[in-house]
Amino acid sequence: MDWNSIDWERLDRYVSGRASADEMAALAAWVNADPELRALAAAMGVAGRPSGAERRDWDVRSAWQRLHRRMGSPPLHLLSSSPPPVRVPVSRMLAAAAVLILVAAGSLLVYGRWRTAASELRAFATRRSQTAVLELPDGSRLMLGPASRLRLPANGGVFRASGTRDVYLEGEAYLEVKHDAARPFRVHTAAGVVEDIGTEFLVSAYPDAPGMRVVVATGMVALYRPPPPTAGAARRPLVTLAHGDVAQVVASGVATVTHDVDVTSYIAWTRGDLGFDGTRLGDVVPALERWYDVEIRLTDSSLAERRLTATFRRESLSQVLELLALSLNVRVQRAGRTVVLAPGPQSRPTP
Amino acid sequence: MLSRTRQVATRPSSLAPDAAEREWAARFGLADESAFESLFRTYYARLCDFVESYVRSPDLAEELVQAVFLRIWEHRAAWEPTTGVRAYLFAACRNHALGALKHDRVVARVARRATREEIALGIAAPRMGPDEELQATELASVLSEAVDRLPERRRSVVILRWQQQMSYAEIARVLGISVKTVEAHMGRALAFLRQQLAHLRP
Repeated sequence: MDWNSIDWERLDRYVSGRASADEMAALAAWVNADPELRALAAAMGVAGRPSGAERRDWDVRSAWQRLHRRMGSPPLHLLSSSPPPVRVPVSRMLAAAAVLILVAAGSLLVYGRWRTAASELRAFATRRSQTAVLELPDGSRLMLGPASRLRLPANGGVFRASGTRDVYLEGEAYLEVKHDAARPFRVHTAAGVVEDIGTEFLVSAYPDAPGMRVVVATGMVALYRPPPPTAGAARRPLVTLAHGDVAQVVASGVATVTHDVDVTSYIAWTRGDLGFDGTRLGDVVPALERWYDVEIRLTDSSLAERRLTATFRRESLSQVLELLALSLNVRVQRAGRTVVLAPGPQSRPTP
Repeated sequence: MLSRTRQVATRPSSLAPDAAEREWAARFGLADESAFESLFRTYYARLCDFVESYVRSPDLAEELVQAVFLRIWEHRAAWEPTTGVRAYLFAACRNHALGALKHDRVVARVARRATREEIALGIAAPRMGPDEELQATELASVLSEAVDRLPERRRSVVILRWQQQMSYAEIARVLGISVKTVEAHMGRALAFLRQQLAHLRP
């Protein structure tokens, strides 16, 4: 057939389906009668898309899961060095940050050294019962847990341009790092340094729980001891963690790694849930305190060893306490923001 | 011309969003997550295809489409897609894609073009006899290459029409141009493709 004589307008009507049912039937008959026309019509339906090996089949299900994790984040709360914290809408906050970056980039040329002076760090903090999402200039995204504090170089140019990306964390954060092998992303805590190797991970280092916990949701991270004052250039990681690993680093620097963990309960808070999986009550209490902004006291230290498995989805504090009372056999007394947990009416049968 | 465009974009009769779209929009106001999820599942892959035609990177395409959905979710209380849900989604993704391209005009795009041109040259080489039938896949890459060479709006007109089966009116809403302009783009695109493929086989 002659390629010059192709009726493109007819083909267009067929491929775009913009024709009546009768006309479509006639068009289909016309196209199907000629293998070359058929091939051309098929090609038109995928025009502009990469072919063969370059072509990607979109994984809608896992894409939804990724998006879902990022949904439902409360508005950002920015804590400046001046005492009264101000709520700023995220968009305006980011605009302000961008301006700040522009101003700072001209004058400061300090690249991510460990001991960046406090004045060169910008602090973000959450109060109790509050989480926040930070979009970093490099495209990484960070969700800050309740009662947590994150500092990053005020000179945001470090994040944009070359050099390492260092943030300093006290508390808990879930990170979706935009990986860049040339520019390692590091989270510094009192107990160590976590470096991403293309990943989403959680770091928990609250001052009231000595040490640090690292949970890897996807990808890999490397774990380092806190840098000594004069950190040498090449240091070997303490341990490398992969997807499903949970590392507990105690203050002495010893790391315990558990493999193939269902990380759901650890990262539940990033979706607005609070999850515990065989967690000691002693560890549940600070989490509840942070989440619900209450003070919880245990009358008996043996209570701290009782273990709780539960996921709370926006339950009220009284509902949570009711569940605690039932499942752990404790007596709950509540006065305002203070809660006292005592051993239950009949003591548990000792195993 | 400008006032005409506006008229097209706001006249309700020309919008005719189907029932499912209207339901989505209504349920969003109530922060219904399952409605949002079904919207996502319906359009995610198609939007990724569309954005990829701009940014040439599947990873970046997914990221941009996710950003569009996240934005909609975060502003769902105020979300009123007056142009229809589908047209809104494609328009928002196009804006994001253009923004990303502007942000860093990636060399990858150029590199990708180069490989496509090599493929096209390989096909145009004399190993093909005059009566030999073009393989569908080869034809697809020649056609894709030709579509790629169209100016941005014209290319999008072609893609939205052939892959998303959109009407000229809906394409006009996506691209923010008049229906007449869309028709003109389509006519010129067809003329260009006719010429390109005729060239392929003298």
